[in-house]
Amino acid sequence: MIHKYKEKLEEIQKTLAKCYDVTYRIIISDGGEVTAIFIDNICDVVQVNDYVIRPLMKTELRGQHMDFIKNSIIEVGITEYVHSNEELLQHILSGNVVLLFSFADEIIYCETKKYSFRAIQEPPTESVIKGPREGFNESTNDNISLIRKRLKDKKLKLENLRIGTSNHATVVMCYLEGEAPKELVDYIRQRLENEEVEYLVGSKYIDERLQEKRSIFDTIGYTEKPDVAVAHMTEGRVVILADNTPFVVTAPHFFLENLSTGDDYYGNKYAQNYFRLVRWTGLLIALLLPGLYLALNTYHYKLIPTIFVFRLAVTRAGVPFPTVVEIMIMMFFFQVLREAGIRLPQPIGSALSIVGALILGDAAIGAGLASEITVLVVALASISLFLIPKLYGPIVIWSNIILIFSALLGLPGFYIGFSVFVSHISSLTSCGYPFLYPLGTFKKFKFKDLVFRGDLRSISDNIFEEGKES
Amino acid sequence: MKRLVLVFTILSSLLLTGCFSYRDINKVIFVTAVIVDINEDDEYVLTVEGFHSYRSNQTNAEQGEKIFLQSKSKSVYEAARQFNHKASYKVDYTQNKAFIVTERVARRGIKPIMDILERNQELILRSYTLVTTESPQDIVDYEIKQNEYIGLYLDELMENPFLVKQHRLDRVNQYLNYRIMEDRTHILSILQLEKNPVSTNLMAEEGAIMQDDVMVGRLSQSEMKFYRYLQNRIDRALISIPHIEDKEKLISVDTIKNKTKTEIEYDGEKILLKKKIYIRTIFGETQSPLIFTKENIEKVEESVERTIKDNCMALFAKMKEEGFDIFQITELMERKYPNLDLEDPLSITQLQLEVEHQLEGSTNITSFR
Repeated sequence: MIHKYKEKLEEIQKTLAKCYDVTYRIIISDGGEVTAIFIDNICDVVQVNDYVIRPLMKTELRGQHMDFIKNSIIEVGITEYVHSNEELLQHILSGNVVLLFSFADEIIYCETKKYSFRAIQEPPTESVIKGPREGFNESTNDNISLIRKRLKDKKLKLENLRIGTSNHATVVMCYLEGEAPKELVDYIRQRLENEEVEYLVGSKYIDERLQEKRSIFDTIGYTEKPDVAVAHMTEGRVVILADNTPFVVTAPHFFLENLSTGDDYYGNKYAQNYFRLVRWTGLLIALLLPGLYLALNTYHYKLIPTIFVFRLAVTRAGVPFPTVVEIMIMMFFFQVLREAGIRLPQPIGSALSIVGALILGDAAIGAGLASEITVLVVALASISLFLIPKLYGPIVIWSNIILIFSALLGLPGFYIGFSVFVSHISSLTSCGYPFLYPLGTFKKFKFKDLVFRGDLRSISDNIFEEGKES
Repeated sequence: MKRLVLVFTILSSLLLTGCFSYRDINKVIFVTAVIVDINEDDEYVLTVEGFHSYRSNQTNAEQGEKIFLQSKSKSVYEAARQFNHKASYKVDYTQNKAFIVTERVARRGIKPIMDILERNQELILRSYTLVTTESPQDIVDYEIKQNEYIGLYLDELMENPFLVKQHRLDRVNQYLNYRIMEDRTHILSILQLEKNPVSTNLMAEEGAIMQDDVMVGRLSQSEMKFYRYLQNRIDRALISIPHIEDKEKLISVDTIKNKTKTEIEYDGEKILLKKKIYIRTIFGETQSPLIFTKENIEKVEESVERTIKDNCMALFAKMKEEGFDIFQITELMERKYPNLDLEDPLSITQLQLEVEHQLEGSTNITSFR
């Protein structure tokens, strides 16, 4: 027995060699030697000392049955036998303490893991003026507790899907049984379980597994706010939590969701509807204004009032480039400024953005690179993009595509570009549901949150008819 | 299927568009007014007023200035094409506001130049069309104070809410419609320079009678007013009558509403053109005090009715005598009696005119003592 104990210990030491933080604590009891193996920076050392090591040292172990030691001596909530070497290593690497006994063949592990996590803070990407400030953090347990706190419902199901053959990341699929369509739950489970991956680092892996078509648009949503996640579940959607990321995946995700914010549901209905209309306008400005400006400015002067035509002509008189090049230069400058503002530390970044925008815009006009009106159009389109941060990337690219179409064909090109854009987003699906839903779909979907926010009493109703039946 | 629809959309967009191409807005000369004259050699002399933008190397700033271009040729289209040999940028007619022909051209007939107005895609049909009694040189030399550009000035003139209710300038598309109606007669406004000791102004108050695209007569400012009453084309106008108590003084009433109903009847021998004018006026001015009794109001109403009726009847008689169907009698007959073929409907037409006038009152006289 001693021989087997030594052999096992050596095997573990060999496997976990060159890991300075693995601790092998030898306890000499009256029954013989016991080794507690744990990694001290991911486990609760106080718990290990007080409720594992001390009882083993103080209590008479000789002649005791292992069940007695497991159930009556060790004072830790979850204490179980280990059945395989793989399981043993996984427990050590997860922060649990593993006990090897020189006088017994059984190996026991005790749940003592304790990771360092960020406190629950207000999410920076979804800040609200009037709503709750809590946001998810990188701990799945904390995140689940935030959901359970809001959803004390027996229908709430949390399915644990282990993904990542090497890091065994925890992925939890949450949904309300009876609300979420069975087909949707089965679909997501099947997509995630059938894929093999060695390491799962963030939620983007899950997002990409669920995307059905290559597109610049994200057809899978994410949120950092538990209230949003819960609202989605009550509508019948599925929420997926993953280890080490505060971003929770929501599916299916629809295009129109990108235009709503948390404040829509916490502020005055009429005021928020107005602001939502402003965001819709912002979307159209960001997407279409550069293309429309170019088409009118280079092909269809007759559609512009005469006084403005003269002004446009005068402001552009000193610009040596074609209007399309001028717009593209200014759009590129703006993207450079934005990138610089984001990558730099925040105090410098914001100052750079303001100074850069002012100086660059003015200098570009002075240097004859752009006209005042082009700078205004590009600035307006770029600022409008900030109203819809979730669509920033796709809209920047589609705005450029429409711009090129407009440069080639004028207004017909502009219409073609816009039609291609609409065709593209109409062709996308999210977990089998149309991405543009409820636009262009039949009335079988119930959705009260289209352009204007509906009544809050019914806004969280299930949006899938078939969900109610399952 | 989706791809097929997309390909079809793209192809039809490419193939069904007009001829246009990419051109930066600062690389264009925008025409604001076109004046067509004809010289002794029967060549059309085309003068255009345009806007040209450029960057001045002297002031180091972008500027816009008014330019005039002139060319002549046997056809207006050819003359217009010649500008492209003279101008630094392409001459563009999409912002043209006025298409003006000289009286000389109008008297000879504008039929040869109507085709280019209708056919050319750049010449927009909403530009105003006028006849001028001035020479193109006088118009070019005229330094307009209210707007730098004649075309834009005329456009602004038509935005003046007071003026637009009195008379409207005809647009090219309106003239294109009227010229093919049965009577082939229409009145175009005459653009004139009015010189007074204080300033020189552009006026468009008289009318040129166009018959078969040829100017055959003129209507004075006063005749134009009563013509518009008869044709239901006036909303505001001032009518002055002799004072009912002191005949040397005047009373003026201001029309605030006008409606003219027209009916036409043919009894086998003569045509009866029935016109009923309803007007509502307010008291504008009196040069001598007037007590506003019911009797006096009735007298004023009757006097205004008589003034309108006399002037309208006189205008009708004059036009009938000269044979100008400016009241569209032939067109009205064609519509009501399409199978009837009359040689000269105007000569057998009698005007039966009724005027119903309602004087609504007067504005208050406010004392600031």
